[in-house]
Amino acid sequence: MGNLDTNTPIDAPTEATTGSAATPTNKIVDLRDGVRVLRSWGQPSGTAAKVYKARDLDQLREVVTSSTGRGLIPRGHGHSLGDAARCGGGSVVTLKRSLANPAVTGLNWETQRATVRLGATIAQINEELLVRGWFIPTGSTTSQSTFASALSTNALGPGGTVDGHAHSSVQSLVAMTSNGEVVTWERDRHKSQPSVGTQDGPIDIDSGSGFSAFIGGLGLVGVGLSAEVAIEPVTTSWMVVESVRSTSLAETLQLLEMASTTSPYATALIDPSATGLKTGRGLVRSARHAEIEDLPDNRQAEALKYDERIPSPPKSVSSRLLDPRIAHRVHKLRYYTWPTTPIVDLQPIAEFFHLDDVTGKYPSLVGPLGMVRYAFSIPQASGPHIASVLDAIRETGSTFGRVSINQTNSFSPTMLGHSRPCLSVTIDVANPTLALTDVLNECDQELVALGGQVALDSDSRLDAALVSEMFEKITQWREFKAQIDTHQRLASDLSRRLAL
Amino acid sequence: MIDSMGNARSLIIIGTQLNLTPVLISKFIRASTSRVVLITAVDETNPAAHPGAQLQDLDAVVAHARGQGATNLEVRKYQPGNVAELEQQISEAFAVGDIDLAITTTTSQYAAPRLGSREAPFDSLSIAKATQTFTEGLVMLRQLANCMASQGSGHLVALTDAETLDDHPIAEAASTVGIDSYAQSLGETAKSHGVRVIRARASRVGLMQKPTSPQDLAIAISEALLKKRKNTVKVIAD
Repeated sequence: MGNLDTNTPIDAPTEATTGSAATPTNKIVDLRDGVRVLRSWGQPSGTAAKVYKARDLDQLREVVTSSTGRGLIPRGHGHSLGDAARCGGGSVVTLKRSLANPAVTGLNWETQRATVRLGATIAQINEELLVRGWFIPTGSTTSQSTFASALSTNALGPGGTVDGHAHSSVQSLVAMTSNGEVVTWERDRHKSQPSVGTQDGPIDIDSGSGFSAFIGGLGLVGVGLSAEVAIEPVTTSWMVVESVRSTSLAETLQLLEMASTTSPYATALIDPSATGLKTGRGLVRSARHAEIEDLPDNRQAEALKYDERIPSPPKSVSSRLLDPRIAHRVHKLRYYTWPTTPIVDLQPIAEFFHLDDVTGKYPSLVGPLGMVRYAFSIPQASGPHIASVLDAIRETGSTFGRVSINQTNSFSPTMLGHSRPCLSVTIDVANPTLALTDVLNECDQELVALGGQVALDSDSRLDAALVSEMFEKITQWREFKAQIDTHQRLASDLSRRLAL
Repeated sequence: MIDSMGNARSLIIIGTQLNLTPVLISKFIRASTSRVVLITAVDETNPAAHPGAQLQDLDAVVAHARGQGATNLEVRKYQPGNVAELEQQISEAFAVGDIDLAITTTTSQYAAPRLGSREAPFDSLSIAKATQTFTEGLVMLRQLANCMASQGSGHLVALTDAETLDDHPIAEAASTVGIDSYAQSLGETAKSHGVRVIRARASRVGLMQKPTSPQDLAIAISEALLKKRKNTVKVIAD
């Protein structure tokens, strides 16, 4: 890693270093017969797929180009809440060794850009960058997802003046198409040619379209290899977080808007126990990177150390918390511990950004029936609609988990997601009741009427008929996929369910 | 596959017991259910000769399913006892598209016709019918599990009545216990291929127990589908 202290060239992952793939000592198939039942995060049931571990480009090319039948999907660390990273009856491929390590392969101080391997996790990248005083100012709510997953789902972290979506820091990305071709797709750059030819001849790919199709494209247009990302200098791995309690949804949205236009990062946590006029009350948190002088003396010596520990409940968590009445009281109690006047405290980066890491550690909080995440985005003017969604879900008797709202103020290039400024709402429901199905279906219809969209990365229940109505660029995305994935090798449970 | 809300996008109900089918359709069909397949044994030439479904019953089931919103409904028939045709119909149903949930009704206490009495357990006709029930049940389960394994997922509900052996004539008891054991071992094998087998087993009625109605059975199955480890559904026999 010493070479990273100087300006190093930004390059694609190395070609094969281990010779031919699938040799007896270097098997790319995981397990004896290669088939495993893969579950999503928080889901009780899964689907069986052949699991491949690609350790270099040759192995990856072999796996991708030999995919037939029910197809193949790249899979990270299994932290997807929906069925986007599963391929029942088909294959999944994970990126290992030279495709994942080291996480950062190039660093240019002058242009403030780094090249990262997409097979690496957010935590790995943070760890390698922070120690050198750099940070990627966007992220995902879990540090354990790979950067490829974050880009494929266009994951959303807290955002304010900085766009919280994973794509916003990415300038260009290198991906392998289903033909085994390695291409570079650049943001806003059109009519460029692929960097590497293919045996079928060069494909006339619009680089900007490739970028837009890949971001949020759920791994269905290519396997992400590396990306050039904009980084920003930081002097500590801590955040200065200002928190204040709100008393209603209107106040929450007002405070969030103020915070989002003045702070780099802002997010709102909602108290789902509140009803009536108090519905939507919560805690609005805004944050900036801490300077060295913000830290107490005893922290300053290791100011840039990445600490992925997050405050967690006790090891043994009673499943009684899943009882809606008990959960209601816990949410209510927690609300009254939040500050009524703004307070400022220090939090490690992981604690502020990666709220979902708690969920991963405590499966008992998810419950035997699994967890449903209803994540959606709506135009900013439709904020009051959030209250009606919360009320409708509450009436089903399901148990609320975390509820949060983020505001996005910038435009996004993604074809399969909200491309305009919007409010993004995440509602976790543990122990879903049967009545929840109909309620969420009705909410979907209302979203369509409002110009909103369900976030596909965490969805596992949306009606396929609504996809065309929700995503205005879906035709453009399908055309691009048909052009780039001519043999239809990339497929997933989600793509089959939603007929993408 | 079954989505995070426990709903099946596509559903197959297979067997001769058509009085159960409308209840199951009412319970499992949702706005999001895109496809319903019915497979049943019908002897159109000599209906009285076999314990299969009656055509008029089938018509009523189809009308009910359409009334419940099954816009994409397929009806497939096979000759009772013709297991090759049964296998083919199942394969063809899966060839059209993935199927998330399959419910077999042939082997349940509701499905199996009374095969004789305790006094005449070795009646040749009873044995022939029991053999047919047994053979079809096994072929059905095996073929469904195979097709689901190739799609990497699926929930298979097998209605058996292994716990009511004392009340059954020997021929029927032998066939039903065979089906139940087969479903159990099939579930153990198939789970590593993403296929979950749930057995709905009848148990003896106690003094304070009400026999399970078809509606209760459908509810019990839907609840079992949502729970990760519940692979047996108890049914109180009448």
